[in-house]
Amino acid sequence: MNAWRATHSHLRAVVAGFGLLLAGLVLGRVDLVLLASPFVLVALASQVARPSSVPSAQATDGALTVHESEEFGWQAVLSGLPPGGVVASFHPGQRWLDVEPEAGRLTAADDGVATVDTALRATRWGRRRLGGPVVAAYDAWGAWRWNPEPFPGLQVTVLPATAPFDSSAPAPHPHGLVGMERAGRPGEGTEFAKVRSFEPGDRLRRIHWPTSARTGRLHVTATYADEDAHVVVLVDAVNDVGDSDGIDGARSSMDLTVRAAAVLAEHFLRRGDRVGMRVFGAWGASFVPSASGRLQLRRLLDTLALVEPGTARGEDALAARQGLGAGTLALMLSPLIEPASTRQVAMLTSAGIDVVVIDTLPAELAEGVGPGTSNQDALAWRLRMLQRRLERDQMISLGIPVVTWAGPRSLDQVLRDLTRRSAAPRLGRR
Amino acid sequence: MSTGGVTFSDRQGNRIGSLSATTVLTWLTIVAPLVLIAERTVAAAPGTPWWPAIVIVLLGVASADSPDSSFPFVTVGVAVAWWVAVTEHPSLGSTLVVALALLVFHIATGHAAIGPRGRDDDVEVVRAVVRRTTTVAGLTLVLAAIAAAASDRVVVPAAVLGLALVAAGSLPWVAGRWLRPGAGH
Repeated sequence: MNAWRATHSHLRAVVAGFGLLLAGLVLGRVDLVLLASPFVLVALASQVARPSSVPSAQATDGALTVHESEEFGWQAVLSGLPPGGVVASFHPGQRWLDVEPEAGRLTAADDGVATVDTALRATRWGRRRLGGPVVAAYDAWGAWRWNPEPFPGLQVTVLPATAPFDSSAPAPHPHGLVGMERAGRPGEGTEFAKVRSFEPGDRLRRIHWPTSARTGRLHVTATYADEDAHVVVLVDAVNDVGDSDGIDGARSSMDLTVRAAAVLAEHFLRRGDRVGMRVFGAWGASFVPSASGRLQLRRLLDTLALVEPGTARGEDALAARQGLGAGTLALMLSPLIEPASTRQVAMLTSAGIDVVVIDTLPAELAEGVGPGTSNQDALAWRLRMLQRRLERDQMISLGIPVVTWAGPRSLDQVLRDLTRRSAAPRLGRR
Repeated sequence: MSTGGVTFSDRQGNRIGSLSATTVLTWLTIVAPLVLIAERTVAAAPGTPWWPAIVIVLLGVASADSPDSSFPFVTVGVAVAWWVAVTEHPSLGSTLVVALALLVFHIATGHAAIGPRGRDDDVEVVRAVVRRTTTVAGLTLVLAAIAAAASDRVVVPAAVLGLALVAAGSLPWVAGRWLRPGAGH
């Protein structure tokens, strides 16, 4: 719609004003003429102020990528407005989106230009298209309205928040060529191994002078090599249990899973490790090959943002093992609701892969009545929770670490234990 | 002007409505003039039935709820029709109060119809509305004073008075036509 149109208000002023005036003249009643006078004055003033030119409007469009809880904005600039004109704007809200001002805004035009700013804040990870904002321009009397072409809503990709995770525990199986982990074999690095006799090829700066002086023979300081680890984050997206109110409110199991995966991926990538990801139970996001660097972090966060839980059920449980070799550290993030996730853990462990199971079922659900509403639902949930507890205990008895995700610090002790255990030889099925 | 207030949402997070100081003020400026009109009408015509007052107030509530609709026009029509039907020789004071109340009702519903309910208004926008309302109210007072002065001294036919009012009111329009670029050439 590109023309100014009269509003109900203007039509009311014209019809009521001139109708009353006419009635007053016909009936010979001055009081009616007086009652008509405000309407007539407003109608005439509105007619005088009728805008003659068509304004132009430009607004933010396209796609944005933000993190959870990060603020971004939508802006529209309308120019060519009549003197005293106002612009009414409204950006529709939706679940997991905070809009300020929530109920819209009336902005005065300054020198014919009005800038409308709306602050937005996404409170949950995911990719979504926002509702189309609505804007209308009015003249000073609110008698004429102009609507620009409808604005498309923004396409927003909300990456999960990555809270700082400062684990000091090393990854258990460093295998690459570079990185910050201490390797199992000696080499050029910073971590002290032992003092040994000098051999041809040793660097002079490695000579340990106190020992050399005491024994009369040259000794050097030997170190472990610094290498990277191969970490794979396995995301169980078969179920999303519990209600999600965004980053500031209640968290569902998928919220915990995705945010924990983001935190872990950032932590290991920052240490120089290679990190990959595999998502089960969601179409559109399944596998990210291992790599290192900031770009890989962005790839992983993008993949997490695309997770739609429960859209691809019945996947082959063996899929988790593809591409993973012995020595890989697999971090399995799961609410352990689906029995298939337990089977995957068993298979990975038997293949010689170090698996750490991170339980992401919200504590209030694990101990409460569950997401159902009826008594039958509550009973079924309690039964499942008993089975789940049994499965957890079985995994723990098999030596598989199971950690309830309670923030980034949860993993520290487990990673230390795994590193210690990896020094011992053991059998693995191929 | 910030809304503040309370917002009501359903379980899906969809906004149902809000109650804020701005909303309450808007409702008051729409409904209160109608209450005043009803009171003045009853005062000008003692013994008149009271139920039209309830109808008018209910229409006012409907107008406040849907300002960008035909409700405000119907409300004005019913209020004026009641006034015409029951009053014969109303005093100038009562007529003036009713005229100003109708003006406030008209401006308030017009302003409420701009944009969504419960929105934030720039202070400049509110100031401009108040300024324009005051200007029109002032002009109405002047016209009322002229009418009062004329009725006391000379007998002016209503038709002449009406034409005079139209002529006076047309001045801004004529001026606007004259001042608009390219007009009249």
